[in-house]
Amino acid sequence: MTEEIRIIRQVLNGHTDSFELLVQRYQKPIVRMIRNITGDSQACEDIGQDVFFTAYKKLASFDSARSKFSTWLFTIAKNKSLNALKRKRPISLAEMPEKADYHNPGDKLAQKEVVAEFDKALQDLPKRQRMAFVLAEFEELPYEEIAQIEGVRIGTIKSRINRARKKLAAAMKSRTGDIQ
Amino acid sequence: MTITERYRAWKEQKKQIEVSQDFAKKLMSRLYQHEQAKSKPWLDSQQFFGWLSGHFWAKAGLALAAAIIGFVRFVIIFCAALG
Repeated sequence: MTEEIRIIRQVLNGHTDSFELLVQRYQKPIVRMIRNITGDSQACEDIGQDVFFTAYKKLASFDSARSKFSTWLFTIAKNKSLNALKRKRPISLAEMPEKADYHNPGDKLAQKEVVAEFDKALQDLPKRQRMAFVLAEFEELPYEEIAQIEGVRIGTIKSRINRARKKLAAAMKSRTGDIQ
Repeated sequence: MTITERYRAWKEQKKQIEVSQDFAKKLMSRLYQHEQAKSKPWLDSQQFFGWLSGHFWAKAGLALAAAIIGFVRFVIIFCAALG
């Protein structure tokens, strides 16, 4: 029996305080994933709170034979993030920073804006592609686990990630020009 | 700086995250509240009478139900006495 399963059993037996060990372990990856999916650094912690609260309430339905606890938790986080995206207003172009001199490596403003441009390109990706991309690139989850979270085949995940990468590269080229 | 280098820098930045120090504490107090609410009875008598006193139509409905029950009981006793 893994340590996580032991903790889960303790919680299910009424030791609510043991749940904090799971929260401490997963709070960073869960909040980070939500922030990168929704692009909302303010609301990500509140959504993260909801994820753990839901996980606690539904803990009895977690089946360790079907998936890892982290996969199950990421699935809840994915659903909460998608719900948050449905409620969220789209980012207007007026909120985007103005162009800066990308050719000057010392230009901190340009550096910041490149980050903003990448962020915008990420947010412009279709939800499913963004989800797969975030889980693969930032959370570094294996394709099998992402496929389980998304409930699709590995091949679908691979193609979503490839398409996301191509779109990001194309968007960056068109926004900043060839900055080599 | 090439686009690949900028992409790598961006990726590293996206991996950074700082979660509030009280994140777990906040969540745990919410869970304890949830557990407390679960162990409380759905409706205790004090809560019920408190709720009733604030609702006119609930009071009227309760009085009407009591009157109907009383009347039916009276009819049953009356019929039993005659029969």
